[in-house]
Amino acid sequence: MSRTLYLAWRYVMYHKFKSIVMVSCITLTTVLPIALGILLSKFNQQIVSRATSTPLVVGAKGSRLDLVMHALYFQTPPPGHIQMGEIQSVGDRGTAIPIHARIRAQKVPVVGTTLEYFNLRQLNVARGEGLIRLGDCVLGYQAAQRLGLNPGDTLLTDRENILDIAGNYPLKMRVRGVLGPNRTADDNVVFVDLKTAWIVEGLGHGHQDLADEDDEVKILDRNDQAITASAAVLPYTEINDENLASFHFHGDQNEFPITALIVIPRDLKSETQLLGRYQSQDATGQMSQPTVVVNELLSLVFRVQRFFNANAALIGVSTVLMLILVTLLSIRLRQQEMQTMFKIGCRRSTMAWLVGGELLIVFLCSAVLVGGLAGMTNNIAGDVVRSLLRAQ
Amino acid sequence: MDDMIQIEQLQFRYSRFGFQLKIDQLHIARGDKVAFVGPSGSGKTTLLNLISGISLPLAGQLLVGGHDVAGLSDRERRDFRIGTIGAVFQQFELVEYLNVRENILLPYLINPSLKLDASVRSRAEELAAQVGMADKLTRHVKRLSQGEQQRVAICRAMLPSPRLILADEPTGNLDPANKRKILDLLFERCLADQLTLVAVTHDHNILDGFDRTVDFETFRSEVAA
Repeated sequence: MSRTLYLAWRYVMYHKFKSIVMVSCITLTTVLPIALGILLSKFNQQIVSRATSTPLVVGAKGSRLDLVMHALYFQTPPPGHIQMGEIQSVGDRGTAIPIHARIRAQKVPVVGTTLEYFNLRQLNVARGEGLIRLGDCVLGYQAAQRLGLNPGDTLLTDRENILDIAGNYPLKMRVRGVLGPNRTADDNVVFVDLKTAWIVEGLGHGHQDLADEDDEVKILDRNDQAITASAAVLPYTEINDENLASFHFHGDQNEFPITALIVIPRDLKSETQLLGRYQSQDATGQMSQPTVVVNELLSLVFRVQRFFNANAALIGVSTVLMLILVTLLSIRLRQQEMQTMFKIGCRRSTMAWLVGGELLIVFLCSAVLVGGLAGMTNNIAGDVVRSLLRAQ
Repeated sequence: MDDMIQIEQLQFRYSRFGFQLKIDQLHIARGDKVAFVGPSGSGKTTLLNLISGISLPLAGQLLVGGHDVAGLSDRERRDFRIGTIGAVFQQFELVEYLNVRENILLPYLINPSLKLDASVRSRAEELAAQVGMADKLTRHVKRLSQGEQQRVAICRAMLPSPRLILADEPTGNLDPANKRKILDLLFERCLADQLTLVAVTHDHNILDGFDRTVDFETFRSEVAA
């Protein structure tokens, strides 16, 4: 048996090109559906796990899928915004965590939120410290790697529109800490306090104290209640200990925008009541259950997968037919060799093994390759899925 | 001297081709070097096939080394063939994907009734050295000249220490210089190991080296009759 396999191995090695083609055909035909299955399984696992840990989300009316994907992954634009005051509609029925994710810093999403978000996602600072004051930011693990930043560095937010010369100034943020790897979308974003996000949006700012300012160029109007500054008074583009006290907001913070609200209801009854409230016509936003939306998305994905599986099965049948053809041609080509073996005194079973051994080796090589590629896919699937979700 | 091959009233027929072979009596003694001559289609190769058990007679008796080859099972015939008979072919019939050493060892790789061990490997190397192929053991057979290929084929036939060598036109594809060398080699090996040699040939110039010649024209007449 081992001698016959040795002969088969020598045959396979001598006909390298043919063997490589056969191994490639079997490997590709087999590994593609397996790799897709692994990727889908990881996709399913990750998206379901993220959705499960996010009981309810509130956001502007529009696409439920857009809202959920925005609130869970921050990469897609939100369907619109809601006001911070929306948080009051949750009241004591649960905990509401605001999300503001429509600004970017060096193309990385900047998520303005509160400390409750870090507790919800169990995010821990691995290096440096957490958010301490306005203008601080904490980087997700991957974001820190991508940006090449460490605690103590600074990060400038992106301008919303470079042609808008009258628009807001980018804010130079202080990198306060870097989170440990979490293997979720939180690894790929920059976290700031919600108020810092509002400052970047231009809803709050800091500038020099104008109470004692005599320069008429800088003061447009002054009365007992207020001083109206001219455009000559430039807002600070960085928040530090010296100018921190000068930062202030204009307007009612309840009317300030947030792009989503994550709600953790106190109990099932509270959840039902909240869902009921947002179903009324006069509700100012919409409430979605991420698990429901994600399951709808997954059912669509798995329907597509069934088509792919059917296609893979057809390709598999074609490959098997091709292998049969190649084997038959191979037997025909080896007729003279087989005849010689027979004349010398080769046993019938050995002759069968000479052909079978070639196929066995080809299948074994393919199996090893498929196993290796499947293992590799399994190792990188999590990152691939995360990058796919990040790139959407 | 006892006979290596005993044939009595042998009959064989390829009904598809209308071919018949009938041999009343043919005895070949051990150690004899016998040449089968005769026109094409007279049954020389057919008789080699019958002797080696590749084909089976319709009637009559055929004993090889005292064994009734036709009475053996398929597997026994194959084992008998690989252990008792060394075959040399006109086209050499070496296995293209193996090197010289592996081609010589081939009988041991394709039939488990022959045990491959260090002594066999060493004998293979000795045989290769005796035919001047010691420095080409790892070379692929496609890179050998025709004379070299036939020398490898002779080593392959000799390795299992057979008692009978059946050579089907062993010099048919060789140039005159190689023809002489190969024949000398065959005769020398047969003499050294006391082997019986039966060779089919169309070349009457080489018959002087054989002890005996069997002309198949005789059998043809018998068939015709």
